[in-house]
Amino acid sequence: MPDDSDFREYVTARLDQLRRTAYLLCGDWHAADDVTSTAIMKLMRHWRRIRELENVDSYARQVLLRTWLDERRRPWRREWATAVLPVRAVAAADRVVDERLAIMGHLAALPARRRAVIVLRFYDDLSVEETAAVLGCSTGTVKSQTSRALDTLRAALVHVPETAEEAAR
Amino acid sequence: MNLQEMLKTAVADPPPSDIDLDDLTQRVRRRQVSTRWAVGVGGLGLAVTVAVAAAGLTTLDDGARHRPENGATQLVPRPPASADPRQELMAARLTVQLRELGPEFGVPAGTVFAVERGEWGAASDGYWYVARWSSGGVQLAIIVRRALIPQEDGCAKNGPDMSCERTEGADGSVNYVVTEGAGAAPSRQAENYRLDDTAVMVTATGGTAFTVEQLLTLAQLPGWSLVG
Repeated sequence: MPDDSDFREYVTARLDQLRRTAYLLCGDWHAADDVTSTAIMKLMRHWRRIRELENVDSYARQVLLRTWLDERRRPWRREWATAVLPVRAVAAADRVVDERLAIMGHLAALPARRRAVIVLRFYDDLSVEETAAVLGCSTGTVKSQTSRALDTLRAALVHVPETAEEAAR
Repeated sequence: MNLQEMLKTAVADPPPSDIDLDDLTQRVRRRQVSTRWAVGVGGLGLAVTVAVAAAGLTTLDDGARHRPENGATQLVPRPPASADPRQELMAARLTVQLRELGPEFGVPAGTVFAVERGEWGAASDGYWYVARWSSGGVQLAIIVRRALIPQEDGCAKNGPDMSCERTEGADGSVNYVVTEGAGAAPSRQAENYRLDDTAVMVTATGGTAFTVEQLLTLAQLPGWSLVG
């Protein structure tokens, strides 16, 4: 039986981060686990080649991202973006839950590549160059996609009411 | 709260993971074993078919040496090739794509893809698939190999009498077009690096019959993929 201890060590150390990134992309923990599992299996199949690479983390993110994009292309996984985001009044005690729902809703409304750019740059803290390498595009594309995604998020988040009274006004 | 904080809040307390690393490992191993079996059985079948066909041909040609079919010129001697039956099957698949090219590329009947051992170390598995032919006085070659997309933004191929341009496709693939030498007999080349780790290089040497745009269109045909 081949020795896969270094693969296990790598995946165990990165699993949590990969899973959280997948959640921000998918918007659903079950789908995130599916995507992460598939990405791990792909990494394992080619591990002998991958472990020789300089930046294994970047490659792993690339595999995760492509797996997510592939999954989205499957007919039964196609998403339907809604034109209007649900905005509702909440009690202050629900604020944390509401903020979480709000950001996930706004992320889900972004086109796939812009969502990926936001997650890679603002959650995984990747530079423009690193994000371009993961997405397989130019740095200019990353900058323009980031700018457009931030414009969309900024516009959407401005309309999220701060309090229940404000929402009722 | 800024965007980074919002994203970190969104994933702050994840539910327990459904991912079982042992199960995933076993699934990958099972798949690898079944793939090896399938390839082994397929290879054995292919070897028997080839042996039977070879025996049939030997009795027909009276021991005469094989010559290329009409128009299919062997331009360079082939280096030692692999005996891996999977590679022979892949070469046959690429040959099917080659046969589908239109008359503009003038591929003579009988031109096929061969498996060769890579000499530049450029193919990640050490082998490439190549078809060579001559059309209108221009020598054409298509080389298909496994290679990762180059990460650098510039062109590696540059020189005093050479121009090179790198572009990125909408699908994330990377293209290079290179022109070397001026006058009536330049050498032109187009390369297409794909997300599935397939790289296709089309070269036209010794004439101006083919533009780099034509060569790039040829290199970008989906049928050259080494996946599947």
